[in-house]
Amino acid sequence: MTITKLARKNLTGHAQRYAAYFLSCVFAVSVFFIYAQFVFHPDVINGDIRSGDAVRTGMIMAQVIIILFSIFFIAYSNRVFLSTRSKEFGLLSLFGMSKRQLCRLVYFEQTLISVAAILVGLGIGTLFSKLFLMLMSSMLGTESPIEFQFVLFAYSLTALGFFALFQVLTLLSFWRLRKANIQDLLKDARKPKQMPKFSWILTILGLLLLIAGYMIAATASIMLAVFLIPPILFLVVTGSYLLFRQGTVALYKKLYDKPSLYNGTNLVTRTNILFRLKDYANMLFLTSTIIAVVLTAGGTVYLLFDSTIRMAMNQMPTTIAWYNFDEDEPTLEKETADAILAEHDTEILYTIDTEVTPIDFQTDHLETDAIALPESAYNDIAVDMDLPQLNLQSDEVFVAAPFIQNSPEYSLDEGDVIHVHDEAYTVYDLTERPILSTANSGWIQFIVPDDTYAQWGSVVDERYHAYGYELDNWKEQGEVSNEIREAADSGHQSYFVQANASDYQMVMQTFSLTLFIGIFVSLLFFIVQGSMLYLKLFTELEDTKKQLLSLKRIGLTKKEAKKILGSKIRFLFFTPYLVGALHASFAFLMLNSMLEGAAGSMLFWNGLLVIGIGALLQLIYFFITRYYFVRAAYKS
Amino acid sequence: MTLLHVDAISKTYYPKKEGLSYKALSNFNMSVERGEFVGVMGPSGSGKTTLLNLLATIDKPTSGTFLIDGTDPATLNDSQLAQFRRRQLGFVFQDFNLLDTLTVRENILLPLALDKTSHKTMNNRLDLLADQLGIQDILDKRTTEISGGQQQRTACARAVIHDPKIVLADEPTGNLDSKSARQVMDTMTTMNKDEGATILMVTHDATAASYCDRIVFIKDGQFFSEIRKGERQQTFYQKVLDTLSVLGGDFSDDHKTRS
Repeated sequence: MTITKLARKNLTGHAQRYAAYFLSCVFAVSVFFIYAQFVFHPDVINGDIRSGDAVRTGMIMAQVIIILFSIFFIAYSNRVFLSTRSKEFGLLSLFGMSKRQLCRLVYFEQTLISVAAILVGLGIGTLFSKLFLMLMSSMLGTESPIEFQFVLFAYSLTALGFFALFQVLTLLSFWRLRKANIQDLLKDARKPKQMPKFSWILTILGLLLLIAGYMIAATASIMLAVFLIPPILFLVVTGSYLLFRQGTVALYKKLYDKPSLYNGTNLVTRTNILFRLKDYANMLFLTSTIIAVVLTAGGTVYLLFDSTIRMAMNQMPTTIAWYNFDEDEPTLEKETADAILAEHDTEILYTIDTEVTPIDFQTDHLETDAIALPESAYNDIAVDMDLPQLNLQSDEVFVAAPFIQNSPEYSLDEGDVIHVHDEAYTVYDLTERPILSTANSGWIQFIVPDDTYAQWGSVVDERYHAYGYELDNWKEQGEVSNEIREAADSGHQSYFVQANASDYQMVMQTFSLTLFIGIFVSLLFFIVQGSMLYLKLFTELEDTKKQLLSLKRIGLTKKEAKKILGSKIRFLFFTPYLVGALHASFAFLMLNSMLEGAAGSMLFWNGLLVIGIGALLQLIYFFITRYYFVRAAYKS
Repeated sequence: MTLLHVDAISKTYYPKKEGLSYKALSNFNMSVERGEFVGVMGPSGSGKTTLLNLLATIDKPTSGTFLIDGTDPATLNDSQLAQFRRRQLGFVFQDFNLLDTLTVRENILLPLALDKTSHKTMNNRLDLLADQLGIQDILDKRTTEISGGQQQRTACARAVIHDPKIVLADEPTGNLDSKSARQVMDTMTTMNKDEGATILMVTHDATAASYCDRIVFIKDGQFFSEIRKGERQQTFYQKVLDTLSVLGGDFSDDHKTRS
């Protein structure tokens, strides 16, 4: 038998053992390829995409992240896989195989697996890239969908890149193999021998560090937040590392001393975990960190997306809105807009056509401009907009200002006194919902009793004309909105025509891609942490089988066996998730105080949503893993 | 009073693909009285391990039935079988079959813990047993810290902690040196005499067998002969050796190679 033949025999004879490793490799290759297929697609490169450059930077960033992910993931799988086989290598050495021959054996095996993984990965990638391209086309809103085609560069890049990666990793593993002596290889290093020890000091230190980190995060003020992030990260990361190394042992030793240890399968499940904790600690720490990062990043990206859209939309009074500042030189004639709308058969829900006057005002700490409109005009519009009617006293002012809450230096509150033309008025109430276009002085809108309005108007003697159209199904009205914008008097003034749909579509386009890439990358790392746990579990398969056989012989029902296996898998999957989610919650809390006002309460729900979705995914992963692991453990 | 009654059981192994079927046991009868210490001997391939596997309900007979204290395990489903094994049977294996994550105490208490027995019962039973079998000193050690003989005595304690109907021992001295083997056999005798445990032991070690009250010899899956212990163990040992020489066959064959 030659070495090559032995390598082939190993692969075909122990397919089950190679399966987990092989599948992780295939997964990494397919993901990389699908993405490369998109980035290097001629349509994408030749820029058939709107808002091209910003998007391309984002995509290249994502590609870099995917490369890092592939290297990290495959290196990890490779290491875990080879470490499970140390006993076999030890045996071969014992029979007189030289280190050189052993390296050759590993080299052949790894090369065979990697070539197969690359081929299968490219195949699966090709199958799924059409779907991905369709998805990206709709995300980017391209005119025509990006056609599927065989992008030769993507194929060769993936194949050569991964081949090189596998080769390098194999060469690195030689180095480890050469160092180990036969006895170390033969000794089952994974076997727990001694009761794990822990130190109370380090456990308490870890707990204190973690609490300190959380406290700082929870109470950080908006000014200091940026400077506090590095120390918080340090505290939390160090704290949770210590807790995973020491705290888990302390906890399980406590459980171990409990009388409930001798209750049913607890005796087996608790000791099983207790004796592996030292072995698990690093991995649990790593996966919990990945989960924390994924949840925080996912939540933040989603929040930004959500709040940007909301904020952008809150600033818009109606689908289309503008002022004609000067009747002789109008920004846009009402008739022109009407004509364009008629031409497109657009259904108009209501229109606004009213007169306003610009004013200057002062409070005790600010001095700026605004527009004012009479209460009667407002009440007419309020009927259409479904807003409450007003009945103001003569010295009261109702303020509609979407931005003012976000800018602390311009704060305006209920009951504040404002001065207009040397007269004092009180702010009756405020709303964030604008009534008219927010362009120019329209960023603050005063609603005043008709008498006050007449009085102010007579002092300034300047009138603007405000127009607004609310269209049916406004999100779809991009085309007609754009046309109206273009019809505005001259180029520089087109900004004064606010068109909801055009802005919405633009924001959606830029952000949905960010959101998509964010979610895509988050999902990848999510799968990585799950696969790390999965692989780890399968390295213990032999020991688990042995234990199950022992227990079955003295009479263990299948139900109890499943309970024993399930509790261990549950521990592995949900401990890091709980810790990661806790980290992420405090990150959200901190973000909350940084974004106070803008998105405060929404962040809570968004955070909860992201953590909930993550938990659901982890649960699915848990069920899949448990199913396969129980099945594998029962197969003799 | 008959505790175990084996009525004409046969076991034939059919190869998965093609090949000859192999009859490991044919029409085998035996019975064990309550409180008896019975040995089963026979050359390699005679079917003694097959017999033990059938009695342990790990394997099912091709034909024939057997009753353990009036229960026919063939009428039980998998889950009930597991419970039956746990409550009514005790096992001593050649490879000890101890969990290396547990201490000696925990290993012994495992069958009771699985059945959620009360702590008081558990501790009383353990104290009594540890005293009888002389293993008090090692109760808190891990299985990796004690010798093979101690491990097998731990396994013996586990086999009787739940007061089983019958203890099935498969080559209990097979992995031990002669001194440890003697200690284990003393332990089993104590179990039998003091605890009143009924024991069925499969062995090919004549010394171990000489501790039994009665020995059943099997050859080629069939009953061959039976001898009973008289007054002295020494003469019984000689009788065992005589029967074995008549029986013939290969006794040096390592038992572990078959499963």
